[in-house]
Amino acid sequence: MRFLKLHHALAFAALAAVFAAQSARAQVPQVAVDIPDGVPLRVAAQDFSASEFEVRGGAIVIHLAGSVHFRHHGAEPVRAVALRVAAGEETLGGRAAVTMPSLHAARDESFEVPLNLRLVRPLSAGQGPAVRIEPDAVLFASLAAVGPDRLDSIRKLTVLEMEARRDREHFLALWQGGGRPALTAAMQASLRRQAARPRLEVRLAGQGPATVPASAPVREMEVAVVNHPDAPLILESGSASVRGSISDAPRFLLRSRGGRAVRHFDIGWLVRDGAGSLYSVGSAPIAGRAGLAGSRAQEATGEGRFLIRPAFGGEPSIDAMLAYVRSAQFDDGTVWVPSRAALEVSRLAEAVPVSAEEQRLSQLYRERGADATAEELRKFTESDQQ
Amino acid sequence: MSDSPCRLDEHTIALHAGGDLGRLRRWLVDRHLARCPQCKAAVSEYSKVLDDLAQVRPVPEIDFDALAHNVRVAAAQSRPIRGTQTGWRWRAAAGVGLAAVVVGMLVLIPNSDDSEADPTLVATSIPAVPEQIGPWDGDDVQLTSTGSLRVQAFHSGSGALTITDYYAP
Repeated sequence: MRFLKLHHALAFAALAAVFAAQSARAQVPQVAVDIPDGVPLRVAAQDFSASEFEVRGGAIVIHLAGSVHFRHHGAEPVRAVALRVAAGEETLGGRAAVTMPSLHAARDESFEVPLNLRLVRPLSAGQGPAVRIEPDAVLFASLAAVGPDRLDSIRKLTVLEMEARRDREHFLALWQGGGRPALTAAMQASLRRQAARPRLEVRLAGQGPATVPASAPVREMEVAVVNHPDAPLILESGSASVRGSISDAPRFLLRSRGGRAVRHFDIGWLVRDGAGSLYSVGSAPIAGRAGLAGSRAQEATGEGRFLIRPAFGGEPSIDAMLAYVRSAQFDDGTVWVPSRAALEVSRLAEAVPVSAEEQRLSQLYRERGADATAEELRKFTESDQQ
Repeated sequence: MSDSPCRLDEHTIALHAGGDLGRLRRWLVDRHLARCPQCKAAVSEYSKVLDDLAQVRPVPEIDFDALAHNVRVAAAQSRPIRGTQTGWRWRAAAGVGLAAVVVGMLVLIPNSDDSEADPTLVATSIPAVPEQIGPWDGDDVQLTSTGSLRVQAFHSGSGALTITDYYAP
C-alpha cells in the first residue's frame, strides 16, 4: 500500500514537472529574426509581446502578433519584402509567408512589417526560438531582387509590383486628366466593387472524404476559358472533377503564344454557384514547376481537393467554372500581368479581387482623402521612372 | 407455475428455456419434460416470453468501425503534429481513446435506435488543416498556384498592406 502511494506521488510529481515545463515554455515568447547573407536589411526593433503561445496536446498553437522594424542599408530603394515565418519546419500549419508590397524605403530609412497570424509548433521540436522569421526576398525599385527565395518569393513580389505599377499609372492618369473628382469617383467605385464582390470560403478538403450531399453526383466539369489578346499563353481547355461544393484541382491544356518560353504562370480560377453568382477562388494550384516552352499545347495539372462555398450563405454548389491567365513569368525573369483594359473588357474585373495596390490605395483614400492618395501616387511614380 | 405437481422448480424451467443448464442437468430435465406436459408447457411459455423480450429490446448492434473512425478523426484533429508523441503521451492517448470508446458505447447502447447516420450526407468532413490555425473566420481567402491560402490585410494608420500565405507542409 505504501509502495502504491509512493508510486502515485512520484507519478504526479513527474506529470506536474512536465506541465510546468510546458507552461513555462509556452509563456516565453521566443521569436528570432534572422537576416540572410546578401540582404541589405538590419533589424532595428521587434516587438511580439502581444503574441500568445498556447499548449494543445503535443503542440503549441502560436498567435504571432507584433511587428519588425527593418533598416535598409542598400543603395536601391526597397519596393517589397517577403518574410518567411517558420514554427515547425515541415509540420502542418508550421510555415507561412508575410509579404509587404508597395514599400518606399530608401537607404538608411526604416520600415515596419506588421505580423498577425497563427502557427503550430510541435512540443518536441527541440530547443531554440519557437518562431523564426527571415526575409525570403527583397525587391528593389529596379525590379532586381535578393534573398534565399525558398518560397518563390521573388516571382510573387515581381508580380505584385507589376500589378501595382499598372494600377498606380491608371489612377495617376485619372488624377492628371480629371483632377480630384476623377480620382474620387474611381476610388469610390473601387471601394464599392470590393464591398460587393461575393466572397468564398476556400479550404483544403484533405485526403479523406468531405461532407457533401449524398445526392450530389461526381461530375467531370468543363472549365470555360477567357483568353486576353495580349496574354503570352493561350488556354485551350480545362476540366475538373466536382462533387457538390468539393472540387479537385482543375487540369488545363495551354500553349505559348508565339512560342516564347514561360518559366511560370498563374491561372485565375472562378466558380459560379447555383444562384448564378461568380466567385474568385484565386489561382488554380499547379503541381511542380509550372513552365511552358514551344508552341505545342501542354497539359498543366494541379494537386489537392478543395472545399469551395460562399462565405456568407448562398448556394453551396459549383455549377460552372471559368479560368484565365493571371500572370506569366518569362525565362528572363520579366513578368506579364493583364492590363486593366483587358480585365474590364472581359468583365473579369467584377469578380476577381482588386490588386493589393488598388486595395491599399482605396483604403488610403477612405482614411486620408483624394489629395493624400494623389501624393502617394506621385511619390511612387517618380521613383519608378528613375 | 408454483402449483406444478412435479418437483421441477421455476428457476430450473427458466434456465432450461434460456439454454443455460449444464449438460447433465439439461439431460435430466429433458427426460422429465418428455413425460410431463405441464412442465413442457411452462418451458414453452418461458421460451415465448424470451423471444418477445428479444424483439422488444434487441441487443444493440454497435458500428465499431464507425466508432473507431470517429475516435481516429478526433485523435487526428487534436494531434496536428506528426511524430511528437512520446511514451507517456502514447499511454495517455491510449487511455483517453479507451475512455472515449467506453463513453461512446455507453452513449450508443441506450440510444441505438437513433444512431443511424444522416442519410443526406455521405461522410464526415476531415479538414487537412486544423481550424485553429490558418486564416481567421471572415477573412477573404484566396488560393495561390502553390496551394497556399492567401489573406490580404490593410493596416489602418500606417497605410500598409500585408499579404499572409499559409502553407500546407
